Amino acid sequence: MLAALLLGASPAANAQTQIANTVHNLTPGGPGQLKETRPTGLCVYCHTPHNANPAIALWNRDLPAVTYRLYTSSTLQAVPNQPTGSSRLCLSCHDGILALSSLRKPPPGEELKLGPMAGKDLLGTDLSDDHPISFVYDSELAVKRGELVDPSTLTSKLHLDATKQLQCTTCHDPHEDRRPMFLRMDNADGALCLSCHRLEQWTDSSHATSGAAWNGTGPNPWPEGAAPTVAANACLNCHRTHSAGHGPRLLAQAIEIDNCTNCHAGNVAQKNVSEQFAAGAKYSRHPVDVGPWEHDPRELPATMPRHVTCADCHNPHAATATAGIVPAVSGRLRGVPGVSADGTPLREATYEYEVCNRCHGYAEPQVPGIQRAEATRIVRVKIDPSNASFHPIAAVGRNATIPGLRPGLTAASRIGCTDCHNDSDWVAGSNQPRGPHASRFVPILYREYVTADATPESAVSYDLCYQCHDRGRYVTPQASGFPHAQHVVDQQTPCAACHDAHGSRENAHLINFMVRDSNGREVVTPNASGRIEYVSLGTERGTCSLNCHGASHDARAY
Amino acid sequence: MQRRKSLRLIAAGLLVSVLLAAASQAAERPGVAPGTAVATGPVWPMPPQPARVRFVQSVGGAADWGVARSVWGRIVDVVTGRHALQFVRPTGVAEQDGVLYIADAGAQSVIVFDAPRHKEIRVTRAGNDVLVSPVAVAPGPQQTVYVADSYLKKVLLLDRDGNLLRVVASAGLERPSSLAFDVRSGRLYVGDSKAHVVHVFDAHGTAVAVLGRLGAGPGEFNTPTHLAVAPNGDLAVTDALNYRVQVFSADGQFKYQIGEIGDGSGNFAAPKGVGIDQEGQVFVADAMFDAVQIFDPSGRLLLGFGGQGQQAGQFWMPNGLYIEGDRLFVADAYNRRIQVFLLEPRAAGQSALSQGAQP
Repeated sequence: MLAALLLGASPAANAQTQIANTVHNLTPGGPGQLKETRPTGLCVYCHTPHNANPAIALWNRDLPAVTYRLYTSSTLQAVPNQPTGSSRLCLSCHDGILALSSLRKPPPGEELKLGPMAGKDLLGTDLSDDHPISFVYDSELAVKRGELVDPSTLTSKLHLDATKQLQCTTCHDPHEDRRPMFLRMDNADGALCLSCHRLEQWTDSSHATSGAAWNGTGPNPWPEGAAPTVAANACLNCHRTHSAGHGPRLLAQAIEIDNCTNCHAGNVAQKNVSEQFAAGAKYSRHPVDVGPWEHDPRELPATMPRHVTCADCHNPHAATATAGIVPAVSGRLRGVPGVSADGTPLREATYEYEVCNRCHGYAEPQVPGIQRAEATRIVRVKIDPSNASFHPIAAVGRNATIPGLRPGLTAASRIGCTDCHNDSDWVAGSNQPRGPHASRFVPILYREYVTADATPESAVSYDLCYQCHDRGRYVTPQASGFPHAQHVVDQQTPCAACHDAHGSRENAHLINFMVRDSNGREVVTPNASGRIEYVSLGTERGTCSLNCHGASHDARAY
Repeated sequence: MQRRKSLRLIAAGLLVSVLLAAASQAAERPGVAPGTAVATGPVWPMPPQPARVRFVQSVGGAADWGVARSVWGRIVDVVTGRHALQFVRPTGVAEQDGVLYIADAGAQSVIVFDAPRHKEIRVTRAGNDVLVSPVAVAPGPQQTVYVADSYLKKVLLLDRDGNLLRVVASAGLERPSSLAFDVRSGRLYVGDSKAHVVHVFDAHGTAVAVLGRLGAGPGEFNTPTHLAVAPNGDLAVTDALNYRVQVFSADGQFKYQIGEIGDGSGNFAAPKGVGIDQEGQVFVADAMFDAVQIFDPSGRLLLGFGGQGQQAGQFWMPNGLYIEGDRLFVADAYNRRIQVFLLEPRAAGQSALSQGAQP
């Protein structure tokens, strides 16, 4: 100690006095007690002293004695996951034997997720659950991977080693434990992570700014030692640098949606999304818990395997709580890639339907359903503004004179997917999240919409349509126009028998006759001359040729 | 009818392709009988010196150890897309009667390649405990295996199918990280790297002695990390932070020590697994040197072999080491494999120090 003081304020002396009080003081005396029986000091445990006179191997006297190169190898290429440089020194002790190494078990206080044991991760190719080390971090990598700062602009607190590689020592200073875990920087608000990782739209996102804290119910979603609010935890809300539950992207939980639902269960976040997906809770839902870890941030919509998870619609780095004005995306869908109405993949969706188009833009539904005269079932194709008619999701509708709209809606109004596809129990201002998570009505509909033939008409049967279209007009006989009352009330024909709720490629008024219902039974069939068609003859005039309920229509006009 | 026929053709085509895939999998990895020396592998020292250590094989999966999957097993693998077992970071290795035991701390499992029974077993839990940090294995009596989990602070005894037989020790262990079993006396040695002692358990599982304490003198340890029992009953202890290996007699008396800290041949920078062969020579793996060094009992360096790399006979931070008969097993942790070497016996007339013909 005295010697250190005499040496003055040299860095070496400073390092010595600080490391003596850390757990890296490996002398037999332990931290704080420099009872050394040999003059080797504190430093030799890592800084191996040079032996100028190494031994000659008696079985190999021809060869000279060897001095081993402990850290560097100019020619050797390490393969991924092989530590190089100073990281070898750390890992030569932190191997679980001499000192504990990083573990896949979460720290005490968190539920042990058995995911890593049984899941695909263990047998797949990415076997690492720690932040990668021993790789060159240069401008080329920053550009190629994206969302990384150029290393020349890195804060001076974090540095790469002499070969421009990121090592353990980039984030940890083994001499100095003023901060927990020997970190070089404080990680409040994710400051350490954000020194290298630059995420677009992070700074004003909910996860970066929310002061929400755990309300005490259920298990603590945060590990021991975490900060008390979402904003202060920042990255550590969902990610773990070491012992990540899921290696790729270092996510904390081994089960994909747990990363979200651990907090979005009414215990931290206000809205309870977890409840929506609880088993048996609601009949119709996006199957987010089927199949592990299909989502890949770089997936291409046209070729990706069929899957859905929270991250397919939400970007947790960019999402905000701002409400959206239809048809634009709400803050909750900010920063999510999309597919435009004509099928072009977009880096960021500006309209709500572009988010849905990512999955509902290329693939047909798997569940057999209603078959129509014009058979396409891909939603993006049905709402395409180049179609003959469509609900005004992707563009303002073609029909300038829609009778019977509810007050507040006009022919120039736009709607979003979530106006019809929403939680059936959602009420404005409640803690239920708005959106197509789950619902009582198939397929995730906000209100009832019966499509079966011979349905007695009522305010409930076609409740979904009546949200926007005034029921009176279709229930009471009208003076002119199509005789809806006769069909819907008297003949108990459902709206869906003639109209396709998304759009019709060939006909006006979203007319696309239902040839078979969702049970496979025939509804509208060709008439005696084999025709099944609708012809529009102007406002409130047209002809139908078909056979339905035994009645043959042959260019029957209204 | 037409549809039926084409369906049958499709089904037949699928079956044939699955069988072909399974067969090709087998053809790519023929089951090699364990211990078969590779004629073209590296030897040390290089000729014209007489060979002392000969590379035998590198074990990266069950097929390398001669554990072949049955035909149906392989078909199931192709259909289900099951990958072959891969090591993540093997730290401990042991072998007995053709059964290879690997403690894979990175995969949080103990892996058993049972060549005689053609079985490949991965143990991830023992009784009620999920294995967290299984770092050491030692073969026990009657085809059992001891496992030390340094996080759970337990030593467990498993049977040949990986089922828990009993918890051998848990109370009083701070970080059990090494094991050695003496077949002749039935004694189990457990190294506790945090408490700086070696516990001794007798054949009935009762704790009979505690060897050592924190310190730098003879018989004292600073973080003992690896153990080995010699054929004559001596116990070798890697005294990691004293940068030496100490050897004790079977009744716990200090006999001798080897090595000191340094970066040169004959020194230790990160001594790991230790073993003593039939001729009393001491083998020590060093993780920073990426090499195994061989010493005679007086501490003189006989040979160092290895070097950093991924080729046969090279290492990337080797950890555990085990000697069974004339074979040496090294857990090559960051190359994700076990390497097997043959220890050539001394030719008649050669002492440990001579090399036969003069250069």
